[in-house]
Amino acid sequence: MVKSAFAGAGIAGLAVLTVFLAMTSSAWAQTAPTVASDRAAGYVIFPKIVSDPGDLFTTGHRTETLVQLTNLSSTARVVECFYVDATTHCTSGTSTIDPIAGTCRTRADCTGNDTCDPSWSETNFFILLSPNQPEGWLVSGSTPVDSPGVGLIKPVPENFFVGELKCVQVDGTSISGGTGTVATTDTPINANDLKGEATIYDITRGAGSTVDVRSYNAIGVQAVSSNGATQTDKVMCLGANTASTECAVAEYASCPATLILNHFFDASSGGNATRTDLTLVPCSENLAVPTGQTSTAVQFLVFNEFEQRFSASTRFNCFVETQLSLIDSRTGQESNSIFNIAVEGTLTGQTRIRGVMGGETNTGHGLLGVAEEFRTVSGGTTETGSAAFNLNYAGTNPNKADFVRLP
Amino acid sequence: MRTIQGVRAGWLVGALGACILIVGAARADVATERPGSILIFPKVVRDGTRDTVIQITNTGNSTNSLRCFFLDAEAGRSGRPVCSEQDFNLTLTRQQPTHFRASTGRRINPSDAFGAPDAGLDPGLVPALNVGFVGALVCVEVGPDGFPMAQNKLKGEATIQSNVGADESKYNAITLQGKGSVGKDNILDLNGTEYDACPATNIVNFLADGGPDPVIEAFGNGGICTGGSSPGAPCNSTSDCPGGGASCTTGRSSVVTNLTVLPCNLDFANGIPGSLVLQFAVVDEFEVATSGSTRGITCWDSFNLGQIPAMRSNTLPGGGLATEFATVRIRSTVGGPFVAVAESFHTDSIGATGAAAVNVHVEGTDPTAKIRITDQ
Repeated sequence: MVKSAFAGAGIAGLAVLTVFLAMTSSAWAQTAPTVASDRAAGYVIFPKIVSDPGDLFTTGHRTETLVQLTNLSSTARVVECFYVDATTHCTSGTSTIDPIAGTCRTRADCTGNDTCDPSWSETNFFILLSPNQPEGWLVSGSTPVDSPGVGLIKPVPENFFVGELKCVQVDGTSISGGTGTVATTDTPINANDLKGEATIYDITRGAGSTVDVRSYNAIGVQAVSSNGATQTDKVMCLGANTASTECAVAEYASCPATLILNHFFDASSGGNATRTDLTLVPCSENLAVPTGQTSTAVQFLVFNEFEQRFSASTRFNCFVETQLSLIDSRTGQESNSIFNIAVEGTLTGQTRIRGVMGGETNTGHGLLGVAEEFRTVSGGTTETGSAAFNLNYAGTNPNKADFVRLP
Repeated sequence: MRTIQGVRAGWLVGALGACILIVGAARADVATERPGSILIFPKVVRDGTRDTVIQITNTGNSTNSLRCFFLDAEAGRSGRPVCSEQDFNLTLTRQQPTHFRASTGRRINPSDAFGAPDAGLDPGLVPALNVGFVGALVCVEVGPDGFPMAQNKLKGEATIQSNVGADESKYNAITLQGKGSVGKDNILDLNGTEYDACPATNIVNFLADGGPDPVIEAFGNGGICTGGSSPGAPCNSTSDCPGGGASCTTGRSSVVTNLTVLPCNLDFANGIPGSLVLQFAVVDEFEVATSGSTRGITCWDSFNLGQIPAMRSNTLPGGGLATEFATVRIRSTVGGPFVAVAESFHTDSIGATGAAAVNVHVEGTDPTAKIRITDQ
């Protein structure tokens, strides 16, 4: 009796292990899904895309972004990409520089009582990338995908463009013709095959020309499963919220709870200057309804090299790109900012960035971003150089999901 | 009764086994965006024209001690890397960021003025590096006894700055996390059990090496005027070239990608350089795959991708790459895994150059590497 009891116990234990292994073998064979910019993923985000090849505001600089996107799968993959246009425009639709589109950088570019507000619109296109195919394009132009890939990459919708690019693997195996007619239901699939990079150029022409480039990796959000199956709907669930009817089960990795940015404090002295620009984009995005974006409060926790702690907060809707010192001060008063060396007293600092979570069950407040560092050196001439880099991530918010709604 | 106890015991054994498997199956590979216990900066330069600023932050709420090792890979008399090490210790308080410059190191001076370059809590004495230094920096979290101890709270960045202009490149340090107890020895096993394993494959997207830069060609000085009244002047199109019969000869810009490789097998204790044989598999935009190219490296290497013909633009002699964009997967076939960082240089027709660095993508793991650090 005792013998059979222990035999039964052994079988029970073995059964637990077997069931566990069966449940987890596919998921753990590689690693848990994550948000990362150094691994292939099913959903990739380029938080900052800028284009101004015609130098609209006559700054002397022409700006352009070169995007590289690669299918790392040995299978052809259909990809749907979205440019999210966050370019600012004067409210009357016309500006002193750009009477037709009304593009502005600040309110000073507008007339009357106009304000200079960010827009939100999306432009999408489909491409098919053949097995292991790399593709690259300048965002200001229309680019046909090289054969054996198929499709037409659309240009950004404005001559002066500020915004982001998001690409997701969707179902389908073919595109007919070179114009981009795709045999797909536009539904995401369980796959992690995309990697990407963006390189931003600021160049001048002529005898005293300059070339300034900065690159960052696209942020990849990995699908939980890589079985290639088509998902059940067009709502992508980044993490799970058990109270949600749409995202009770995660389809993609959760967005990080905290973004960590190491940076030089903004400084300016004797013509030499260093500043860091931060671009933040929301993890939740409604690409189907332009008015359906989520507003998120962002908290910044700043530490200097004396271990002294400061904080600040702000709020944004769909895209924010700002110099650190302008988060908590105004232009011309940067030296009052907690992101400035005049306040902090040390050269470098650490900033922890967190979206404030809400109780919603149909949207989330996760954040992603990229940083750019600008260095100005004043000698015989003044030169500016720059570098871009990806942020670090810490933790995830338990039982909080982000929702990406495709059209 | 004993039967029930036995069944409970069985379930307990099963559950325990499952828990062990969960722990064992946690992430076991390098990262560039998550704090870790080992920080690797594959490319540190102080070569006379460029200098490197290192930033390291303790993202935890406990004091964190580090042992750091510069790997000097500048060429010795033989032409091969000297591969010597120089180490120092740092201590960071909770959440403390710090920095130092390769050319100056960092002194201990509590009287640094507010806003001075070394103001802040002094983390420790950091030696300055010689002019001509090229190599890597590796930092390891240690406990009070000087032996490795994993808190997994370190993050870092390296900024390579021009000494003569404002140009700069920046990349994130590569981190490896410790997996709980890492043992009371100076051998760090990068096997996925003690520490994260190094990647099996590194993947780089690049532009055909040495070929024209598509953005500079489209909007910058992509060419040189021929004929007319300003021959040799930079141009974007013929309209930039004055005089009758003038034209703009384009295709004069270039882009070059430099890859820096550091073996994961590092023996700082015995000064034995790691040796690798790298194998490259290139795919171009036409899905044409080229593989079989190899390159042997010892200690550390930094080379332009165009030194491998399959990655050199076909606009150059011997170049075999027919498209603007391509991807290369790089594996080590001898000597264990490696980590890498890429830096691209974009030059217009009159030599104005901008640089940008990126961390490379990784795939899979190779759990065979070890880092041996010196005795404290």
